[in-house]
Amino acid sequence: MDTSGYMSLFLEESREHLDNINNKLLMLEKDNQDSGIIDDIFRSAHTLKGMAGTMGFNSISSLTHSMESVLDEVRKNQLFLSPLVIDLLFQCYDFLELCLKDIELVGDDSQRDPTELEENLKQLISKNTAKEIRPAKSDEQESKGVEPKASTMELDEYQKDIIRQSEMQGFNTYEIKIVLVSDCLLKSARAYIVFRELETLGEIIASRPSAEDLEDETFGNTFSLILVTSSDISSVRRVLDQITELESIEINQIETGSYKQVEQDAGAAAKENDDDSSVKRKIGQSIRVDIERLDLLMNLVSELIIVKNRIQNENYYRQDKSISESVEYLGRVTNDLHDAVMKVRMVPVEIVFNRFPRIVRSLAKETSKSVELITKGAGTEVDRTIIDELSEPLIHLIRNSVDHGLETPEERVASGKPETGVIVLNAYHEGNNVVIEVTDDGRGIDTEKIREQIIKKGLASEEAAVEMDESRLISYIFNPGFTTSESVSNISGRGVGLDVVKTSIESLGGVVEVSTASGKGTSFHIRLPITLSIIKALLVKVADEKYALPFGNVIELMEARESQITKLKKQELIRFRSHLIPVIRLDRLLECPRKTKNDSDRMIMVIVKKGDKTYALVVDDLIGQQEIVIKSLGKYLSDVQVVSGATILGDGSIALILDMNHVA
Amino acid sequence: MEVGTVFNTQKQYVIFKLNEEYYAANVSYIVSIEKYMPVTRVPMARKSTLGIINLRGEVITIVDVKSILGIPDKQASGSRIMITEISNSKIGMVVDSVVEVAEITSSMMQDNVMVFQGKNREAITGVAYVNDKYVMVLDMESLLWGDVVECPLT
Repeated sequence: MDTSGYMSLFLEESREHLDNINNKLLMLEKDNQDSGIIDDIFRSAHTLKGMAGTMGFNSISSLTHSMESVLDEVRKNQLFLSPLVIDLLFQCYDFLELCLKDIELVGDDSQRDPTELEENLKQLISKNTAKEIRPAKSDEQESKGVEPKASTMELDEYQKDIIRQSEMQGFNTYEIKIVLVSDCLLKSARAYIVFRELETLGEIIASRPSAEDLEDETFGNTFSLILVTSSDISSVRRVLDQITELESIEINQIETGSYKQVEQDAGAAAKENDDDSSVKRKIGQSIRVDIERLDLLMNLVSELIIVKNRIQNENYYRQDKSISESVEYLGRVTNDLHDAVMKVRMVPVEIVFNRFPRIVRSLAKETSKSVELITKGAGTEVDRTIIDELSEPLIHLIRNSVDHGLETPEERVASGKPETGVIVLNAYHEGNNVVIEVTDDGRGIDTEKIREQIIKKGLASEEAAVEMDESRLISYIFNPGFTTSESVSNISGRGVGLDVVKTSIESLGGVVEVSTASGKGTSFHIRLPITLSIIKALLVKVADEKYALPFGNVIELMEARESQITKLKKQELIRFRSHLIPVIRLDRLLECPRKTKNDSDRMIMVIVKKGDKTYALVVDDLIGQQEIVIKSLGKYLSDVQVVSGATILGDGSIALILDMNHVA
Repeated sequence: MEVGTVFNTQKQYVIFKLNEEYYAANVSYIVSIEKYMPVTRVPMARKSTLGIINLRGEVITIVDVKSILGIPDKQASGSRIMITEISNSKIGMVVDSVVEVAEITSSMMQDNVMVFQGKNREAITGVAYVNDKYVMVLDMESLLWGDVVECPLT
């Protein structure tokens, strides 16, 4: 079978299931009594097994199979879920994740050998001693059931789960076998009546043949169903007795204890049913769309906006009221359309955040620290393109926090803090930005240590270093190769982390800021635009060229005279709101060829902000503000940093978008 | 089917002129040939980059092949832009004129003719004798992407 077409679907779904396993394992670690969680993991493992089997990825399918066996033991209360078991399951998760990565890169998982993990899993089952067995629930339930009988129907995990849960809530479960009279004409109608009547009493969770087959009348004269209800046997019988054309009615009470035998007999078949049930379970109304199609849609909307801008720039329509109204309406609709498409592309940061509990857990183990991770605002939505780029920098920051930020438990106790360090991951919207904070309650950044390092590494003269204030010193931690850590651990300390964080966040048009208090902790703030593809921009003219300045950076426009500029060590400065800010002449910075010399004394300045720094950019003329569609310059020009992209204006000409992070 | 009878795109080349010399680029790399249009300068780009154009809503980088090959620019400006596509990345190259599309087979390659002048020697894979003229056959990937760090091919 050619499975290549299903590859992306496989990868995506597998990842979802792996995420689920990961999350559920973390939940289990906190509460190992919840059988629903185990069932959930079981289902994910099972689905993975099925999918991997179809695709021919034997390492995955073989390991998930072994996992299933162990999970099954746990579920049947025959294996106690000790930390050892959870650890092993985590290892399996790691292995599966590596397999998936391999598949993504080389299309194959055969490089990875699950034998060792499988052996360990098998040992768990065989080692399983009597002491570890949890008290079986069926003991107490034995007395409760009237005449418990093993069900003859094969039930899947989901259905069994329902029965188990309803039992706990005091509901009765009956298996009802109905034989229709042999000359029954409308068998499906009769069956429908039975279903309808029974549903007034409770819920029918399974039937054989299936509801579809009953409807299609593709069954003999007999059908069975399982009813979960609060009523007793006699009232169920009373209801059924009122329906005609039933030859015989057989009602048996059943309970979960009795499923164990059935499950073993019908093991394979029952498990096959799993997939069907997961289809039936609706998890909200949603569809899966290839990101490329969304990109295409986005591109079309972008084109539409360009055309809209073009029409709005035309003057003639203003004379005709009805045309101008239509054009305005068109503008509103395109804006709404743009918003709607943007929303479709938005995904919650949860996708990234979900990976971190696991990472923190293993980092804590490696560093033998006690760490708690608190995530807030996981539902905050960000454009898909940003999400993909966000995970690496955040992992760096979290590693950094665990390794450098947090103290060892002994140190914490000694300084009067709780033994467990806390890392808070917080995401929220702020205007057109999304802010993500990574905060730890550790020792804080030692600015004196930074000062020492600056001097030691010769990054600044001793006098200059002594004069530096705290924020200036802290900014050095983003320098490549800068580290205050005495030792290089395998987690961090090489000094590569933070500079990578900074460059990747800046390449997304964002900023990173740090605040720290000695002994109290450190907080990293990442501020990112919500979307990357369409922004509001101020269009300006520099010499004869057009440039777009992202509106988010622009604070104010002002007019100035040459004489207002003061010079300090070759740097031109101008007074702006009682501060002296640097003046950047864009024509010089961008080396714009100029045909005529601009000898006017008056200058137009655009005051822009980048992080906490403010600059005055000298431009020749202002064109106006506009929504612009960002187009990438392409790979060939990826080394041009001062320009982050290009946009096509209404008249077809191109304006370059300046990247404020690299202008100054 | 016999080999020679198949229309083999592998051997079809677009032959174009830079100054007085003929060059050939395999058709599989060429998307379209456009009339020369004004190019928007991109500041701080490498020297051989002329800038970008808006080609039917698409932003395409335009390079100066003469500068890449290190040959003098005798004509004031090129007359055509050949749009190339390699691994989904498009680049336009300015040429003086496009002459023809011709088949170049290994038998046409002139082993005894050497190219001495200019730089980026490795971008010229050989010289062919096509329709009474000598044509330098270009390795488009190394010509356009040879010195680009973020090459789409890697």
